[in-house]
Amino acid sequence: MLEVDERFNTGSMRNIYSPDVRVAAELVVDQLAARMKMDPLAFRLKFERNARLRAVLQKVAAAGEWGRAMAPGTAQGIAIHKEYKGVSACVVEIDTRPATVNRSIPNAVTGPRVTRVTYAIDAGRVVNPRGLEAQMQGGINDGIALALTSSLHLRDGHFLEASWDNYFYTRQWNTPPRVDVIVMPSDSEQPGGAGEAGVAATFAAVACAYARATGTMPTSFPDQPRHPVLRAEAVHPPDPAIADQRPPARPVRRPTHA
Amino acid sequence: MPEQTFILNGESVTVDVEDDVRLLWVLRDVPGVTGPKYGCSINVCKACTSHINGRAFNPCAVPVGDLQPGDKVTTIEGLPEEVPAVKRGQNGLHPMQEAWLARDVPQCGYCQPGQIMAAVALVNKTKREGRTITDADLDTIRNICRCGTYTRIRAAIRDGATKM
Ligand code: FES
Ligand code: FES
Repeated sequence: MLEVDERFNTGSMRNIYSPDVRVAAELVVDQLAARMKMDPLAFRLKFERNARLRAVLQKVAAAGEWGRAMAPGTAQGIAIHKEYKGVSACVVEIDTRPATVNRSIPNAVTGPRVTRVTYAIDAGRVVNPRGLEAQMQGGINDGIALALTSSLHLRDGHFLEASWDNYFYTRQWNTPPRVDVIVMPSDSEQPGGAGEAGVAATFAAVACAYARATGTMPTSFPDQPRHPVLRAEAVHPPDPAIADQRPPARPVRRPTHA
Repeated sequence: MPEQTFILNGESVTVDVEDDVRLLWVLRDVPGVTGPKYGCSINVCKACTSHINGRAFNPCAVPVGDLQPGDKVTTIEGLPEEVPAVKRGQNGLHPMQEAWLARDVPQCGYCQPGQIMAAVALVNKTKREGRTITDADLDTIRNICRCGTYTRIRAAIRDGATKM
């Protein structure tokens, strides 16, 4: 991961850099599994040493029907994450068939649709299970946005995006019609975190599912070559004269974990 | 200043505001009806969604001078009175609001008045078309929820629709 001085102020990001790191790791794990001719779940269960992680993996694989037959252009993806004194695993199903990708919603990013998410979290001692479920549901929508729709484009000192609307945070037309969250029983005394714990494994599972459905290895996200903001930019290309007038560099601000 | 008259949550109101002031500011600042939330003011976030003559609309995009004296504006505050008393739930609220409470939908809550008003308008639209709500209908809702409560919103709309 590269930290760059882009000379603009930064703010808080749900789950900070964990989703970026996680997605890279899980895509590579899937490649290792493929080279060893192993199923992604079987590979993870064989090499994961953390018993809590193996438990959420097994739970989510059973509840999410890992390995069920999927039509061409659709696929499952599986991923794990460990943070905030908790562990989680996620199975998603994605549809990348043209009829889905090209569905038309005015002024919207459509593209691939995540059709089902199964998420298991062991957050240690749980005080409010319904609240924990809600936080996972929110984090799932963040993870899907990171993989498929949301992004900012900095041009000539300005962002092309103006709001959540054209940053393309997940909307109803991209949210999964089916989401199941499993809160794992725990005899731990220690409560773990919830607010950001649903993002990283979802982002990674969506990326892995996308890679398997399309037979590609995505290396930048969102994988949206027809992104409407970039299409608009093609019509109004940036002015090179303005690009030279960037303000002077100032020290890089290190992100701090919320 | 010009006088603007319309019906707000069942009562006729008259306010002294310039014609070009957006209705969202009028609602929030003059009678102090703050259910409709300000999210963008450019008609994209849908946080301000309310009803005009029974249809969803976005008061941030409507100059108050465009309203007619007979126009009925309903905000989340007036939603319970949109159904007969027998249809209201244990909290005295509209069935969609009751479904929202039962499903524990809100997180930060900011988008939720707009979500509920959009949901009621959508269910009423499908009823006028003589059908029940589908996933494809739910996919058309534009209201942004930055907390990502979409899953419970979908479930609550289906619940609420059965009691409307
Ligand atoms: S404030 Fe009205 S649509 Fe955003
Ligand atoms: S509940 Fe926070 S924006 Fe919807």
